[in-house]
Amino acid sequence: MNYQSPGGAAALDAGMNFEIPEAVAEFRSVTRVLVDDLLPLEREFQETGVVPPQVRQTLIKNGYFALAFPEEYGGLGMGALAQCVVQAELARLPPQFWTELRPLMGPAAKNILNHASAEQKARLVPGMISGDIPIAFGLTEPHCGSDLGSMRTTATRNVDGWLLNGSKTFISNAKNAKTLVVYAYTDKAAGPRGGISAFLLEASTPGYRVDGVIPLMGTATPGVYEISFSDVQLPPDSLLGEEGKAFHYALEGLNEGRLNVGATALGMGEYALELAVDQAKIRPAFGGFIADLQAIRHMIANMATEMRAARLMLLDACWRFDQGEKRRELASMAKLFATEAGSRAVDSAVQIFGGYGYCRGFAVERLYRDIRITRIYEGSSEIQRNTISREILR
Amino acid sequence: MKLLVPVKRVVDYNVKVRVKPDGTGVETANVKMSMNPFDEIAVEEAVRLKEKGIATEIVAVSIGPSQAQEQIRTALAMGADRGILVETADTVEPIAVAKLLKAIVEKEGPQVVILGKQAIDDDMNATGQMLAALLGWGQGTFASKVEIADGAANVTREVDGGLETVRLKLPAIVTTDLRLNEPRYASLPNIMKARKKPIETIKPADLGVDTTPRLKVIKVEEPPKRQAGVKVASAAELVSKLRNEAKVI
Amino acid sequence: MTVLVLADHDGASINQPTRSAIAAAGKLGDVHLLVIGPEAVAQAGAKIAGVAKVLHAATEHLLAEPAAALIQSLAGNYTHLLAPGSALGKNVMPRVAALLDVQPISDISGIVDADTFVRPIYAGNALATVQSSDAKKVITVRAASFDPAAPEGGSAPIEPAQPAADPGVSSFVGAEIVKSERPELTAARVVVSGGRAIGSAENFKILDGIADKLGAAVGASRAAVDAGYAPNDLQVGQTGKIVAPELYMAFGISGAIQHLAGMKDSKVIVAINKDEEAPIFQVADYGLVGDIFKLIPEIEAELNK
Repeated sequence: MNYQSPGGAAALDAGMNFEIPEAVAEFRSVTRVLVDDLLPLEREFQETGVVPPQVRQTLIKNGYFALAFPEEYGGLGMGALAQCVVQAELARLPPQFWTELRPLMGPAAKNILNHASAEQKARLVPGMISGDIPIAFGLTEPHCGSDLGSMRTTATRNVDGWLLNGSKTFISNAKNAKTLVVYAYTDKAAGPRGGISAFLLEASTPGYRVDGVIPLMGTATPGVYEISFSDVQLPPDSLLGEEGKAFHYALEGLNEGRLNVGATALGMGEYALELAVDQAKIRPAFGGFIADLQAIRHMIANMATEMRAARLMLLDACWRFDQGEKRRELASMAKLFATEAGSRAVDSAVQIFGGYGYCRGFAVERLYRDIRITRIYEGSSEIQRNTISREILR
Repeated sequence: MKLLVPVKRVVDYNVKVRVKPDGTGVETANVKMSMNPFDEIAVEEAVRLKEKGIATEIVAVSIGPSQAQEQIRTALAMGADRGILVETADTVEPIAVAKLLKAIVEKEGPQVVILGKQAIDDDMNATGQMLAALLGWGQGTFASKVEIADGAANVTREVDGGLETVRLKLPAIVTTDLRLNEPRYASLPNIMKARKKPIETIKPADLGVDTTPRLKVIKVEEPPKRQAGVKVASAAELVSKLRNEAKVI
Repeated sequence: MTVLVLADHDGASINQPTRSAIAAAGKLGDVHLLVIGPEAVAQAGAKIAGVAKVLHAATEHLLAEPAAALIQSLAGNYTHLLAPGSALGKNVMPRVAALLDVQPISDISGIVDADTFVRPIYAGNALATVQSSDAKKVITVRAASFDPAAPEGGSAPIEPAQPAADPGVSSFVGAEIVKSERPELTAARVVVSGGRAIGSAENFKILDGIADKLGAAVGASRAAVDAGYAPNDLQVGQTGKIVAPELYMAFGISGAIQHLAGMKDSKVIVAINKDEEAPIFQVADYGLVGDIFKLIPEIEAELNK
């Protein structure tokens, strides 16, 4: 992906090149192969509720946990473009198969990479890549979603560091996490933009508890978790970055994570489109196949058009992001459109499958449930519209 | 010991090929292309021999258009050390492929050439055997097990009804069957490493080989479509139809 | 024109794919049969209808390297060199072709004229008609496409063939031929296959009754193999075995393109599946909708009647 805006004669001659870089294209095709091989395990997962261990092993062994991390820590140093292209492929698998990658390609890892001290990074990153240190991102609270300022968790300075109290909810991977990025007010009087700090919490610290699991609309296990902190003593070196700056870290992390959620919805939508096309060609009706019917053909045309637009918007936003053009509205637009168009594509796919689309065991039925969350987390569609309009009307 | 592994760029096995309306071949434009699956097994076997310390270097060769570099890159990402692309846009038949490979073998001096037993596009199943003949080497075709020791290869072959083992003096040719191994994925870190491995590009003429086809394709057509048959209502009706109507039991 | 056919055999009798190759050769000219193996096999070959002469080279094990050298030495007398498209033919004939500087024509399913042949490509998803410019044609024959010559009715003379020097690069170590009551998948007249609906490796045995009754080989879809219900060598499909029996019975197989590519040349296809929309029904001559676990015993009982 290295197209240029046609600013001068030379640029006009060079035209635009929309090809993704070769290495990323290779990542994409090898990920597709791996996904095709892992998909048959979905059945076992749906029957037992347990993700077969070989899924995680395969992802770790083949470098997926390392994707976003710098080479100096044994990572691959890949940017948003590579991460999103890979994520769009992985999104064909049940989310539980790749949910552990979310913190690694999302806000938790971004926070650690951008703001952790060299010592903290050396302690954590190799283990995150090898899978030995699962992590989780603790931001959302029962009374605090998009409005970060209403956060109630506090960290009060004492002689040994900070004393953490409060609770968080909807925390993915909390049960397995060995280290959590936790947000808390360190100075309520300073308000969100000056009073929220981020900490690295070891899961073994006394006073930290996983209180419960919240089953989800999508395939219900393993769900997300409620966690709480009761006089959890954080050592001085647990502070992530600077005190009072974490509001910006959260937005920055979510901003990058947004592209990843957009990629997830893109992958689900494209998968639904493929399934619908295959189904339409083999499903007999009225002496032919439903693919012969204009109603179906138009649905497929709309799905294909929207998914193509979503892919281009997302790749464009990723590429610009990697070039340093980190405009919030581009990530928001890409996330907004990909998640909404992806949802429409999945909905159409269910319609094309007819009764089978409503039956457990058919991938479109699962996609219908799983894609719904992409319009909510990492900033709901409404928050994205706020961000976009704020930037446009600035 | 050096190993040579030829890899072919073919239409991906998941793609349902379509015959071109003018009957000159099948549609390959905008179709997903991949490494021939049997060649992946060949690369995997070579990499395993290297991991066991039996082989020291693996050279992946492809003969085809410049895009065949992608398949060489895949081989490099799986563990081959370097690549050679014999670049040509023309159709190259197994006899010409075998001659090109012979020229490369003479230059590179591998002890074993491991090839896929057949390419899933032309389904010829010929190149390995032909290369063996041109070199005067022994051939272990359709291998399900390969053991190399003491200057010889013991190759267990898939034959009709079972297995046969032959002992080949090295250097030798091995062609792979499905059960030989389960190819690994090209891992993301290895894809990055592979980008730094060298690929040399040459032309068929550099090897002094005439690749003019011996077979002229008169036409390519769809196989006759099967008519969907009838639904029967019961096991009894089915068996009766098979006995009395189809007369196959 | 005289055509040489290489015989494939098990040390005692000549197999059906060879007789199909003899039938194909008969369309091109006089047929000479080359038997590399025991005397008894040569005698069996002499009886096959349409064989004008048997050339016999006595050896214990048929290896590609000396066999190809032998055929090369005999090639001068022939316009066409044929073999069945069995493991043997596929192993030996391309080697012969290279020794003669000929591009082989593999797995032909039709003969247009002495230079022009039809062969499947892309796992049978397309048929190519090709014309060879080589002086001699080296060919393997797709057995399912030619009705085999009758095993009896001929009385050809048997002449010894002078073996060419063994290149000495290969030797026979051993063989494990499964002494199964069941025929080999690719040579079987009837194939009974199971898909993922079979549900487990244990359940796969429920096909045995019908297979025994019909003298059928047992096959499996890739989905069943991937799920671990059946070993890989039973896989019928583009990446597995390609079969074209007289009767193919698919139990609980939905009919993925991958699978259809491996069996759609079967003469009669039967599909039994509980999903009446399964794509397999589009290629089936006889379809039966229902639960395979109920229908398999019923079919078995009907066959016993």
